Parts: sequence; structure tokens; C-alpha cells
Amino acid sequence: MSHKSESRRLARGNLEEIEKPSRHFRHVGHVSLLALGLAAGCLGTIGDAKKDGPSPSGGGGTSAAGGSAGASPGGSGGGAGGGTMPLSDPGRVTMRRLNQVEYGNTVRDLLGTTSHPESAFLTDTSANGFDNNGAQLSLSSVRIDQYNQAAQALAAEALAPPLRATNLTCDPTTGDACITTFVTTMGARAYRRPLTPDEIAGYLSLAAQARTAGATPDEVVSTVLEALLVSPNFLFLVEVDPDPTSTTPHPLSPYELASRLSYLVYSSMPDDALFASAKSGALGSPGELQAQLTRMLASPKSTFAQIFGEEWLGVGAIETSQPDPTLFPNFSVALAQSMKQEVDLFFGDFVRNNLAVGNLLTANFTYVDDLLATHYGMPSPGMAMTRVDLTGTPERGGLLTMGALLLATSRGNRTSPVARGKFVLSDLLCHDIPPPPPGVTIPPDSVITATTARVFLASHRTSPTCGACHNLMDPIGLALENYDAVGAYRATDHGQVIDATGTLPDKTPFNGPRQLSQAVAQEAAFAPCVASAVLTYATGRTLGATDQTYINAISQATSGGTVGFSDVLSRTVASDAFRQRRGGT
Amino acid sequence: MKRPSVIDNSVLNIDPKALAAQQKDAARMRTNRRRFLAGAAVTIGLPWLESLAGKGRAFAAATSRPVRLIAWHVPNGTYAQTWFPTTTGTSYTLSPTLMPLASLQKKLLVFSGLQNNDASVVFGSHCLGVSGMLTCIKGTQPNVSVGVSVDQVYAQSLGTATRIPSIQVGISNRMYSDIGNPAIYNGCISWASATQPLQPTVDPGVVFDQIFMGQNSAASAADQKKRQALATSVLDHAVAEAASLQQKLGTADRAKLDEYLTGVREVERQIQTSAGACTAAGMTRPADSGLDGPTQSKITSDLMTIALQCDATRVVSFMLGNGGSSCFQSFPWLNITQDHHGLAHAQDGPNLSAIETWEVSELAYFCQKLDAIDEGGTTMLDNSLVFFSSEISNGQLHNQDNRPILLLGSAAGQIKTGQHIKYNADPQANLFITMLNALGVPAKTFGTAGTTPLTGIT
Repeated sequence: MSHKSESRRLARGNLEEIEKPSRHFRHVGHVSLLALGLAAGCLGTIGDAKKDGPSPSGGGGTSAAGGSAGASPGGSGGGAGGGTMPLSDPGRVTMRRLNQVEYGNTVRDLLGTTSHPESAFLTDTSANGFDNNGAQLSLSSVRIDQYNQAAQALAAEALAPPLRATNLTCDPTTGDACITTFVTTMGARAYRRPLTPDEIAGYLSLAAQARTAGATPDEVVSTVLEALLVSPNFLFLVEVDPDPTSTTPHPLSPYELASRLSYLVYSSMPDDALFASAKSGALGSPGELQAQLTRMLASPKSTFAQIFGEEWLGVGAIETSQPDPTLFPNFSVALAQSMKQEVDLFFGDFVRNNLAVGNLLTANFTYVDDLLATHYGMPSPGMAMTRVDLTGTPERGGLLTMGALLLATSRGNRTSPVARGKFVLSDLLCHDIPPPPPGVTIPPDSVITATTARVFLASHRTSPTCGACHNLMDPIGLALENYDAVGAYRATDHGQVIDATGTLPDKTPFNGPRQLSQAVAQEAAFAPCVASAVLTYATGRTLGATDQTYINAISQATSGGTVGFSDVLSRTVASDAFRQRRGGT
Repeated sequence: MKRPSVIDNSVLNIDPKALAAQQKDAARMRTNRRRFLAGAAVTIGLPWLESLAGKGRAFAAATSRPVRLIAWHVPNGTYAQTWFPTTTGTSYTLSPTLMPLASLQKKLLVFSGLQNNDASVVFGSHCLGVSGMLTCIKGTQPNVSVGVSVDQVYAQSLGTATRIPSIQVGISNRMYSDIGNPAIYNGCISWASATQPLQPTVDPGVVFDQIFMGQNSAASAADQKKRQALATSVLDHAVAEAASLQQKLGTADRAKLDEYLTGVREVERQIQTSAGACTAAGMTRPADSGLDGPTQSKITSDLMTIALQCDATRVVSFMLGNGGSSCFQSFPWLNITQDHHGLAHAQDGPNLSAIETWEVSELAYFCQKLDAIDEGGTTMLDNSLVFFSSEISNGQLHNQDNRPILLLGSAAGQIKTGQHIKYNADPQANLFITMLNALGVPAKTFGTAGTTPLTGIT
């Protein structure tokens, strides 16, 4: 069965650029320019960000290069490098319901099922680009009905051969003895922590009710399993504060921390080794936490690179893109899938090899198969996705040249330099772009496509109101005009050689995609922006102003002058924002 | 409500192939009650649900006349030049776009000049337009808060009169945020509370399961009773666990758990309520996906019709596409290759007219279904209110002035249909007050701006 949940992720190409907001709405560290009003100009912070750089008081991670254990950016103790850090706010995560992907992976790992009941669930909404935001993941009776029906089907499947042997290790005819065994073992995995005696008693009471209602021994077990699968302790990642009203930070329990880590790396429940680490309490030590992270990232179960990469770039649903077949006859769903695999494998390389985050934009390698290589005009490496060197291929290298992103930031019949420029500014450099003012008129497509994008977008220049923002976005997008709406390379458009020159808002000049990528990678705002995306995904909450401390520390350059991508991830996991929580509102 | 009596299934010629197919899918669809309605049977076609044998389906006239509320949403506003009739009054001429409703013109009420400005902002948002379409309240950001939608006000007034308080169905599960608004605003016209959006189910098969829930294939009455008792115990246990957890949580987490608890209690009630006249026998569970727009729309209309007809619910909302870009990217059945949202921005008259005429034809399909169901001299359409609108008025301006609004049916003779009335910027919320009053809800205000019933339609 196909994962319908894929379709919930919007390809950016389906979005009308004029209404596309910053995915990092109210981004930390930058004043919302909406509040400043258009008269103040669209952006004024990029140059400032470059000068400011990461906060010098960002402490902890500075010398702890390579994501070494114990790196504690913004740590309440001041961190290894500082000592002056004020007590940090770990933020307030709203209890997270499992999203579709997490539910599917969790029942797979819990019960051994391959039935993907989550494919029929109501779609999850995403926030800030990611669909694991606790505050945004809502419930309704329809969803509960779906959980309930899924629980019935899953229990039936899990307690029948061939899964029965692993899921039920006792004889149901022994009554409470077997129920106790089942609840203690299966329950602890479903709740991702051992059950309390009261909870076990609750299940024994449920079993008794079932017997009273005439249930057979097998039906009693099935009823108990259904109850486990609709329990809030299964459906939510529950984290409890000693005092829910207190804003004083406290460490997560080892089991809570194990779940955070597991859903970050696996999008699923903890595996046996992680459970063991939580049980022994070892996970509370920063070194063990890092060791588990490293172990899990190396596991084939790791989904981090794929899900983070696809959601961050907004390319999760590009298979559903519908480029005009008369203009782009070579486009196919298979090609879109290859494009996504390029993204997945590319991020995987960064996670595995701790490549510098700047290389996300300037890498001289990528992954292609024959389909994608042909699309890119490169020699075919064969049927399988293969890592290729781009030394002789100046048109490609880095995220901004990848088909997936270029497709996702295009319309069905044309490129959208505005969408591409806005992606760079708001998603790679974390600058809010205010919405357009009232009464904006977009000409018909026939007018837009009658000429080159550069000529058409010149109309933005004639209006001070439009120009305030478009003078910043458009030049960036125009530097990518060498890629058409499906990401194929072209030297000309409308019979003219493409002019790909422009400047960043801070006046850094560039000519073409390669120089643009280098310029963006060198912006001081880039690494913090990567860090904020990772922190957002890792915590499942919208970031606030107090998170800037973490972001600065997580993205701080090491002695080599750059920061590695897995450094960012391991510092995120080491941070108090990940390891601690607080009550309050 | 008094339930219709039950007769033997021999009045219907059930297709054995269809039954076999259903039984194969027993995990998702449980049927075999083999009970059908008595009374003056009326045959209406539900072609998309019936087996290939294409048989008509017998239904009873309801012994009492429940009144239903159905809300339709279509995305991206309308092209006013071809959508609005140019004449008003009772002898107005239908506009080109509304022509598919010609046979129902006497049961149709067309509104011009209503506004819903309190629901959105100046350079309007699709998200706020959707969330405000039935609430007439502007959603907040970044925290989700809107208001109770008119369909839910009615559903809540009905309480437990039906097994399912209300059903939300749709075409698309795409949602995106605009201008900083939560994405959920983009996908939900129905709101049970300010913070409880009701997401539409977009898979026809899942809607089918929802309507026919609790019907167990080939189970004896004793087995069914046991199954119901066990399912109830499971949910009771979930409630107890949530109650215990509730005490340990802070405010935000409690609110999340409240959503859970409300949902569990509702499902528990539905399990304990008799399925009544709602039987899936003789129907084929529709496919979940892979359908083109017109097919999915018609299947969904059939499902809405059957849910209303068997009184599984009296309140339905339907989104023929979510707001803005979360809609059809092309219309192959109209030979239109561009996306709706882009066309709306460009106010591309010819293409928009074609799309909107199709939307209205889908509405006509549904309303004609309701109008074919006799309820003792009047039709189900007569005993309903079908509200139809879009989240914005003009796809370029994204405004909330001069809302494109249709109302079909008269709530059992309480609304004067068969006219086009032009208002002078009266709040759309006032129309909802009138509609609620016609539905028996003594509302005096609605939304932010609704303070008095709308004149001229009662």
C-alpha cells in the first residue's frame, strides 16, 4: 500500500508565491518586518546579521567541535566555553500526538505489522515547515474513530499468525497471569516507559470486564491490546512536569528523552538498545546520549535525513506536481522520485560525514541515477542512485541546483523567480518577508510567460511598494533562471541568453547559480538558519525569542571556521532545549 | 426522533457479488444487518455507491421530518461577471454560471451584496476566508482560535438526535498557511469550538466506513452485543487513563487531552447508538483514492445523501477543494491545464466561468438527489438548507465584499426561495442568524457582526 501521507506535503510549486508566507513565521532573532511596516523597507537585517555573527556569549559549543559529547549550548551551567550564560529557557512543547508517519512506523516496530493503517487517517497539518508540531496536531472524533478502527484491525492482525508468536508470549487461558505479562511487556513498549502498578491494575480490570461481557481468552487479550493502542499514553508523546505551573527547567526523564531522540532519528518508538539505556538511567549522561544518537543515525531505520531534508526544502510531494506535459514532456513521476532520492541521499551524506553546512549549497557531489543524470545532461551512472563528482559539471552542485527544489518552486508552466528568491531569503536565511499590500494585481499567465522573467519582473522595480521586497527576492530567483520549471538546465529563454546577475540584500554580487550559492553559504545568517530548522524539527514546537541562544550556540563555527551538519544535530540533541522542559504556558 | 420501522430485505434484490465484495473487506466495513426501511419506498439512484447491477434503492419517507443543514465550500472566489445574475427579484434571470441549477430555480435563493469583512483582513487571506466562512470570526495567529461555525451551532443544538452529530467531507487534504495563518485554517470550514477545527475526510471509502460504522459482518446479535460491550470497555478505559493523565498536565497539554477526551466520548456514544436505517447492504464501498474530481465529488454527494437519508446525521459540510492553492491543479475534464488559484488571481474569465459552472453542476447533482427523495409531499431538499459559498469573493482582490452565496431548500417552508436579493453590505452573519432561526435555534447574534436576522427571506 502506498503511503498516502506523502501527499500531505505540499510541493512549493503548487503555491502561489504572492501568498506564500515565511515558513519560519516570526522567526527568532529577526524582527517581523510586517511590524515595521513597508515604509521601513522590506529587509534590513541581513547585513546586520553578517556583522553580528553568532553571539559571542553563545558559549558551550565553541570548542566542542565535532559534536563531542557534553556539548551543551546554552546549558544552564553556562556551557563548556562560557560560564556567563544565564539560565536558559528550554521552551514549552505542547504534548505531541503521533503524526501519520510516526504512527505508521510505531505500529510497525511495536507489532510487526506492514498494513499501514495510518494511510487512511486525516492528514496532519504542518507548522514552520514540519508536521510534528505538538500545538498544531489536532484531534477530533473522526480521528479518534480512525484510531479506534485501526486498533481493532491491528489487534486482530497482531494476535493472529504469523505475528502472534512474537506479540503474545503467554497462554491467554491462564487469565490474569498472561494479561499481566502481556501488559507489562507490550504495554511498556506501547507507552514507551514501564507501566505503573495502577495502570497494570487498570488493564486487569478491563480484562475482567471483557470476561464478564463474554469474551474468550483471546478476545480478552485483543481487548487489552486495542486499549493500549487508543490510550493517550500511546497516541501522545507524554512528558510530565513535577509542577505543571512552574517555569523552572528540569531534565526530561530518561524514557521521555529516549522518545524525543527516537522520534527525531527514527520517527518511531525507541528500539531495544535505547530502551535499555533509558532503563539503566545511562541516557541521562551527555556522552551516552551522543553515543545513542550516533548509533541510531547509522541504523537503516534512521529517517532523519530524509524527513528533515524533504520537509525543510518542502519537496515531500513533488510526485504530485503537474508540469504542463506539452512544455515538459520528459517529466514523469519516476523522475520526481529520483529527484527526491537525490535530496534524501545528499542529506544522508551530510549526516554521515559531518560535512560543513555551507556545503549544502556548494557541494561538488550529488546523487543521480540514469533518469536524473539524463535530465541533468550528465553521463549516466546506471540504474541505481550513485554518488557522482561534479567537478566537470559546473551547472550542478548544492541544494539550489537540485531538481526537487527547482520543481517545487515553479509553477506548472513556468519558473517562479519570486518563489525561489523567497525560499532563499525566508528558508535559508530566516528572514520574514511580509505579505504583499492590498490590491495587488497579478497579470494573466499569458502576459507573464510572454517574455523573460527578468523583463516581466522589472515591473516590480517601477513600484516602490512592490520593490521594497521584490528588489530583494527577485534578483536571487533570477540567478536561478538557468533552471526551467522542472529543473532542467537552459542557457537561453525566449531566445535570449539568460542574465543571471544580481546581488544579495547586503549587496554581495553574484553571477549565476554557483556564485549565488557561494554567497548565500557565506552569509552569517545561513548556519543559524539551518540550526533553527533542526531545532524546530527536533523539539516539535515553534521557536521563540529565547531560542536564539541555542541557535547561536548550535551553529557556532568550529576552529575550522565552519560548522558540520551532524555537529548541528548533535549539539541540538545536547542542548537544554532538547534535554529539558518546563511547565507554565 | 422516532425511527422508521424495519422490514425484510426481500423488497430489494441484493446483488450477491456486491455482498461478497463487502465481506472480503470486513475489517473496514461491517454490514449484513439486512434491515431496510418501511413505508412508501422511493427509489433514487446512488450510482456511485451501488453495485454494477445498478439497482435503485428503497428508502422510506421519514415519519417525522428532520431538517438538515449542508454547507458547501468552493475555493478561490468566483468570477462575478458570469456568476451573479444581473436581475433581482422573483423573476430574475439565472446567470450563465448558475444555469445548472435551472431546474431548481424555485428552490434557490441567490444573494448579492452580503459581506463577511470581520472574518478576514484587508488583502484577504484564503486561510482566514475558509476558517471565517461559516464562523464569521477572524482567526488568530499564531495560536489557533476562531469560533463555532454555523453548522456546528446547529449540530450542537441537535445534541444526540442522530448517531453522528455532523460529517465533514472534502476533496483535498492539502493545506498550507498564508500570511502567517495556521495551515489548519486553510482546510476547515467547520469548527466545533474556537480551537477545535473539524477536518474533512477526503477518502470516500473512509466516509463510507464512518457512516456505516458498527455494522459487523455476519455477526449474530449476541456477538454484536458482545463486540459493542468490549468496544465500550476499551473507550471507558481510555477515558479513565486520560482522566488520570489530565491531573499531571499543564494548561496547553490539558487542552490537547480535552480534544482527545471529547473525541473518545463521542465515538463511544456512536458505538452505543443504533445504526438505525443506515445499512451498507447492496452498496459497494467506494475506492479511497485515485478518482478524478467529478467522480469524487459525485461519490461524496451520494455519501452525503445516504447519510442524511438514513438519518445518520443532519449536518454535513463539504469542501470541493481547500482554499487557495490547496485545490485542483488542473481540470482535465474541462480541458483546463492551469491551476485554479492562478486563474483566479488572473481573473481569467473564460476558464473561471467553466470551472465555476462545473462547481455549480456538482452542487446541482447533490441538490437534485435530495430533491428526488420524497418526504411525504415535500422533498428532502425542501426540508434542508444547503448553503454554498467560497472563502473569498474575488480571486484577485481576496475580498469579503459582495459574497457569492447560494441557499437551496427552505428548511420546511421557512425560507422564501426562488429569488435573487441584492443587499447593501449587510453582514453574512445575519443570514446565519436567519438560517439558525429557521432551523429552530433561537440565535440572536452570530459571529462578530451578526446582530439581527436578515430581512427579506422569511
